[in-house]
Formats: sequence, structure tokens, C-alpha cells
Amino acid sequence: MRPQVSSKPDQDGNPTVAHPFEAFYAVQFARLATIAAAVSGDAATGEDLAQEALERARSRWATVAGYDDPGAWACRVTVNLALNRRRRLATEARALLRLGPARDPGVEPALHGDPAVWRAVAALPPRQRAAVALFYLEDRPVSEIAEVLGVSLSTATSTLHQARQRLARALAGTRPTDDERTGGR
Amino acid sequence: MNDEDLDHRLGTTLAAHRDATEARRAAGLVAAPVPPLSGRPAEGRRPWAPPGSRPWLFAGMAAAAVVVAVLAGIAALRGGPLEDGQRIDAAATTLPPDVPSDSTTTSTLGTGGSPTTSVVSPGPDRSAALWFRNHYEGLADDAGTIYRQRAEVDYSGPMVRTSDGGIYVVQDQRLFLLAPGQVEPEPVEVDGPVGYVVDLDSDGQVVWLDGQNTLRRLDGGPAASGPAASGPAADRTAANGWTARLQPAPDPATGLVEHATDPAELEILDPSGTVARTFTVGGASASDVKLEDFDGRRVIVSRAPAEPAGSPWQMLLIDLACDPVCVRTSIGVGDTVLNGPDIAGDPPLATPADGARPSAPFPLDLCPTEGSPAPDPPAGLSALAGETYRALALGLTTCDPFTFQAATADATVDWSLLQAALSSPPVQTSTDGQPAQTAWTFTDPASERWLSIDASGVWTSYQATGAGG
Repeated sequence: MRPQVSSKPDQDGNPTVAHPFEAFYAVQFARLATIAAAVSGDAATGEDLAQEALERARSRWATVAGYDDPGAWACRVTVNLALNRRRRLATEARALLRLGPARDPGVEPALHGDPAVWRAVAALPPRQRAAVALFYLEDRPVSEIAEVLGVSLSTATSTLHQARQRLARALAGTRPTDDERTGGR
Repeated sequence: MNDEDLDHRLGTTLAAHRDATEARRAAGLVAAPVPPLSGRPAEGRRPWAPPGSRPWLFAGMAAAAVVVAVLAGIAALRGGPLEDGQRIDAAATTLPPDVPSDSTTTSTLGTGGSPTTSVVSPGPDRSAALWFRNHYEGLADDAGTIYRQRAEVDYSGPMVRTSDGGIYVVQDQRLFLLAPGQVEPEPVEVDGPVGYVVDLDSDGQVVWLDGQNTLRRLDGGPAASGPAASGPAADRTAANGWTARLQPAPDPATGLVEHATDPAELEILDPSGTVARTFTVGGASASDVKLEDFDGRRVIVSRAPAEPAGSPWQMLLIDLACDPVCVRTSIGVGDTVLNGPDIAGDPPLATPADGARPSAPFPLDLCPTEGSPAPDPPAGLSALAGETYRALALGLTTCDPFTFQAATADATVDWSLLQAALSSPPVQTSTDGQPAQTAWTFTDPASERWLSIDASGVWTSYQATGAGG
């Protein structure tokens, strides 16, 4: 069950109605962050990319809200941001050199779940990671995965098949470990 | 491991992370964006069309393919790859879009203009190549030849060239080096996983982000700071002391630098730090720009628009030795590196003549959709109909994300029908007491499509069996 938006009362104690974008944000953030974490291999980066995708949705909300499935649009943007991310890393790396760590280590996000699974996913090519995240987290049919990834149905099918084969090989002989933090950035 | 176990482990892990992230958000550990001021959605629900399915994009791709074939043919007639110092004007050679590393598409265009895939293995001679780029089958050069000699290195990962011409490649979180003159890339043992090759630091050492997002270098020391660490620019200094640097440039419309991390001007500095050349390579229509490589004379930058999402990157190779400037363009996905070592000594920098510049469209130009020249109307139209045709065409002008040139490429427009309508006698229309307006109305007998165009270029059409655009 996805979380519901809880609107805060105003200063007089009257209930307020959440802006539609707030509801959209509340429902979308965690799933987008998880997809981006799977593609990027990093929990904090996943949150950053989800924030960026949702910021893009916010900046053009009047248009995005008119789509039949704004979540699919946000998902596509998130995946593309994650796949294109390494092109921006040179600039980001220099920012790291200049500015040092920007996050408070005390609130640093971490990857949750089975660490062996995250390691196996991280070893996949980026587009296979995206296909896996969309398939297992979103439960999307392959046709929708193809649309989000911007590839043909046959390519999406092949990508997912190859990813599952590699994951099965990588995870063979490992034992599941539930809900263990595997480290952030 | 059987499928059921695999599905369970992946599903539960991803769900666990999603739930933990949701808990962080609910606890206020993630700052939500401020809601937009106006929350009114656009009138009427409409499906989201993924960029790849947009009709105009297909039209653009088709047009690009035609341009590719024509220009590749021209290139072949001109004698093939660019030689050092050879001048290539506006008719730059354009290569076709590459596909992602895991795609199953296999055809590419060679310089001869026909679809070819040339996989060379083993023992290739790479000396004739001008540049190399990630390709899903291996390392692709500018002529479309693909090199792949080592099974576990598919060249889909990040790569960077060192000043001696070596190419470092990341594959499955491991570092490989394709040394100058060597056929096969060899693994380079480093401590820990390699996330990404990001660049060379100011000492010329290859640096990468490790699994903890820490910048690392081969000798284990900290990445050297320098000009690269002093501002939001990306830069690279070649062995001859010359530097290529990307700098933010103000948006010409607002005068503001909107994206400090999306620089848009390429500056070439001599060893004293004096700016010798400046090229505008990014802007509002190409907000993402990356410096790919610089050997002291030739520089490669790549650029892409923010929208549509997932657009391919246009690569620009600029040779400083040409007057006024040599530019070759290519479209693809992935990193691009030059072939060979950095040059020694100063580049034979050409002195651009005042005002000299190849005729438009110039490869560096960026989508002049505003103020772009009005297209000539078809012959035979009246003056008023011709002006209306221009207004229609300009209204449909968009930025082609493949070429960054203005393009009237709306595939949904039946131009022959518009021309036929404008060729008919205009009528004066008046509705609900409004002043009379000049308009053209036309019904295509074949398609039973009815069309109305007013003199300002606004058009409406209906299909006889239902409403249309």
C-alpha cells in the first residue's frame, strides 16, 4: 500500500488541502529513488536523481499533470537522468574537490535489502539495471519498460533476459540477507 | 538459482529499499520541492508520448538518415576521412546515431554511404582513425570501423585518453588500459571497484570515482587540484600546455547563466593563460555540454538538449589549425576520445579572417528557431497566401535535437493539402459580429479532409468522419 498524503492543518487548526503536486511527490519519490539507486548503484545519488526528476515535473506541472500517466513521464526522466549521469560526473567530481562532502553523514541514505543483490545489480550494464528495477519494483510489462527505456520491445525483452541470466549466475550460491544496510556513497 | 528464487530476492530487496526511502521522506529527511504556484493541469487528459514515439522525432530521424546518406556520399567523393589541416566547411560529415550498448541493432553507416558493420579482430591498425567512441559492439572509430579484441571489454563503459595516447576503459567496475600500439586492452589492478573514469587531473593522472564516490587515482594519492578545481568549468590541459575549457555562458535571451554546471562556451587558452579562441557550443537548446578530449590542437565536445529526454549527443570535433574553423559532427551515445598522443609544441593556430565564416547552417550554430529565415513559399501562390504559408511554416519550426538546426519537421502536417488550400481563392469570413477576416477553406476530395486557414497562419482541419487538428 502506497503512503497517503497527510495534509498539515493551517495556523487556525483547519485542515488544508495538499497541492496535487505534493500528493504526486509523496507517491513517486521513493519508487523513483529506488529505480535511480538501482541504475546508479548509490542510494544518495538515487535520491538526488529522483529529486531532479520531480523538480522537472514541478517546473512544468501544468503540462505533466495533464498526462494520463504522469508517473510514467517521471519514471522516464529519472531513468534517463541516471543513464546520462556519468556524463556529468566530471563536473560533479570537481565540485567534490572544491566543496568537499555536501551531506551530513548522520542522515546519509544507504542501500537497504540484500547486499548480494545490490552487488549483482551494480555489476550489470546501466540499461540492464534500469530494466531490472522497472520490472521488479514497478511490475511493469515489458512493453512499458521498452517505452520508458526508449527501445524496441525486442530490445527490452533481450535486455531483461540477459540481466536475469547474469543475476542468476551472480547470485547462485549466495544466501539471502534481509534488510541489511549495504552502505551509501 | 531458479527463477522463483531470483524474482523473490530482487523483488524484496528493491521493495525494502523503496520502503526505507519512503520512511526517510516521511520523516522529513528529504526536502520536497516547493509546489508550483499554479496547480491547474492542462485542459483535457492526453497520453504521455515517450520521446521515441513522437512523430516529429521520427521525421527528424528519417531526415537525419537522409542527410547522413547524402553527406556520407559527399565525404566519400571528397576522399574520406579528414586529414590534418584539411578544411571541412559547413558540409560536415555526419555519422548516424549510435545505439545504446545493449541494443540489438547492428547496422552502421560507413563513409561510403551504405549500411555496413565492420568488426576488426584481431590485430587491427588503428592509426588512421581520428577518434574512437563507445559502441555496443566495441570501440568504433570515425569511419565506422569497430575494434574489439578482448571478450570481457566491450567498450560500453566510460573511457578517457591520456596524453601518450593510451585509453583507459572501465568495464564491470574494473579498469583496463589500451596502451599505445597495443592490440588488446589489459587490466589495471587497482584497489577497490572503479565507478567511473571521470577525467585526468591537473597532473595528467587518470582519476575515477570509487564505490564511495571518492575521487581516486592510480598511484593512490589524492587527485591533484588545479584549474580544474577552481570553478564550475571543465577543462583539459594538453602536453603542450594549451588548455581547452568549458565555461558557462549567459543565456542570450535573459543574459543570465541559468545552469552553472552546464557550461556553454569552449575557450582555448595558450600556455600563458590567454584565451586564443572561443566557441559557443551550448546554450538554451543544448544545455548539456561535455568536454570529451583535447590533444593540444583538436578538441572534441559533445552536447545534448535537456528535452526531449534521452536525446543522442552531438559530438563536435574542432581543429584549431583550420581557418576559420574546422568542425566535424557526429551523433551518438557514450564517451569519445581522440586517437594518438597529445601534439608537441604550439598548434598551427590559424588566424581567422575578419567576419570569415562558413555559410549557414554552420555546425556550431544552435537552433536559431527564433528569427530564422522565413521559408520560400511554393511558386504560384498569391502574395497574401505566400505570407500565410511563411507564417505557418515558421510556427511549425522546431529545434532538431539531432542537428541543433531549426527544422520544420512536423510529420502530422500535410503540406500538399496546405498548399492546395492556399492556392484556392480566399474568402471573407465573419462570425458572431466579428470583423471579417480573409481565410482559405478547402476540402480535399480524396481524403474528405476540410481545412481552413486564416491570414495569420492559424489553421484548422477536420476529417469528414470526425474532428481533427
